[in-house]
Amino acid sequence: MAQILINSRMCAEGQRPICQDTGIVTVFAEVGMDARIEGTMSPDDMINEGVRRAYRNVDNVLRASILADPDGARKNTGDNTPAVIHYKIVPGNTIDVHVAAKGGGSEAKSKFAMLNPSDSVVDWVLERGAANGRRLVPAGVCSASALAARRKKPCCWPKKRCSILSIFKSCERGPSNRAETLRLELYDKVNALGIGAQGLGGLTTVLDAKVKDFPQLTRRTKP
Amino acid sequence: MGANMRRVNLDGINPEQIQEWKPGDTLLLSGKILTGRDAAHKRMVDMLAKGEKLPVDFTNRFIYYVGPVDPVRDEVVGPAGPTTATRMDKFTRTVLEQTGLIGMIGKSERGPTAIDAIRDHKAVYLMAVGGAAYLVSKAIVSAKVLAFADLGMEAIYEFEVKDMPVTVAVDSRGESVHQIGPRIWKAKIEEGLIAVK
Repeated sequence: MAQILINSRMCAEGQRPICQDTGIVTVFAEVGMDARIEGTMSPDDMINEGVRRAYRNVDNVLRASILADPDGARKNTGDNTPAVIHYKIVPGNTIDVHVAAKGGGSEAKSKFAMLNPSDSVVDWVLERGAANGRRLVPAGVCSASALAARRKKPCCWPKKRCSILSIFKSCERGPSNRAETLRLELYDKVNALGIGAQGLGGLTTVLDAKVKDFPQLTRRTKP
Repeated sequence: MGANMRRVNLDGINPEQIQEWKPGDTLLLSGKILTGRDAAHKRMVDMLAKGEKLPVDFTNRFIYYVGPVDPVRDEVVGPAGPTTATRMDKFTRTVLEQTGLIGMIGKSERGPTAIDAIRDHKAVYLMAVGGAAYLVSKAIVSAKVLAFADLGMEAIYEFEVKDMPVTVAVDSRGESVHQIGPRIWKAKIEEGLIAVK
């Protein structure tokens, strides 16, 4: 932990990234219904040009980590494009762009399952946690989504995981809904596995747990 | 678990010297190390399968699993923390058997396949702290690409390091700190000796 804290301070002072994995750029663009975008480039191309310039900035060059043709040649695209872009149409006349550089490690640990309605989400996460928890470095944020059908894709995962760590506030005030109850239970039980930061044993396997749920059809399965 | 700290010069190190290292030992590494991760390992294993000579000699060398950031200003190399070693598990036996490699540096645990290979070849796996990449890069005093430049950050570099802090994670007998540690903590939590909150 001392190395991590010293590293963070050095990076703040030296204006360099804290990790060599400078991430996949994930963009959430909220486009106002009355906003108009001028120009000949598509919004996707505009965003990717921004990524290209940011990752090649000579004062703070970042790592190109995206591979084209992932099941074939796996060639590095050289400029960390394309970004993963999500659009939402909202009221208003502004465009708000939220950008996250999402590290590959957190994405690589994602799992998806179709559970039965009576199955326990917590038990499933604990089974996955025991298998993967050692690999959460420095320590993880556990996030789970119960989705409405399969069409509400796991795109909600990065946004939820990127939110501020707030588990201690939730512990203090207590849960106000089922999602919060699940969140607190996951946080306690994953940390009780004793896997610890970097898998070396300890009480902090996850720093927080995030839960997002969506209305679901009455069906046999619980994704 | 050992709790010794020592300085180690990797230049000219031989396989006998690494036999005394124990899980949990802290080492300050100096000397030259090679780098490589997923793509480099895949390419090397494919080359070995075809009987092709590798572009780099790994005899009695250590490999650091890293894909660094390019340097800016007067940096030797940008942030260069370890990548997850578990992904290289499937290549480990081949590399230890056929290249003369004696040590690996990465983050996170090694699975049973890699631990068996490490034990069989009396090699070691060392762990650098994940999340301290800029700090680690300050221990790198020179860096050059030796092979596979087309792989970008996944090329084989040679880093010269000075006092790079690492911990012995799997020793040459196959004892893994990632098994010992969680086992101890899980027992303490289950016995109620420590509360999670």
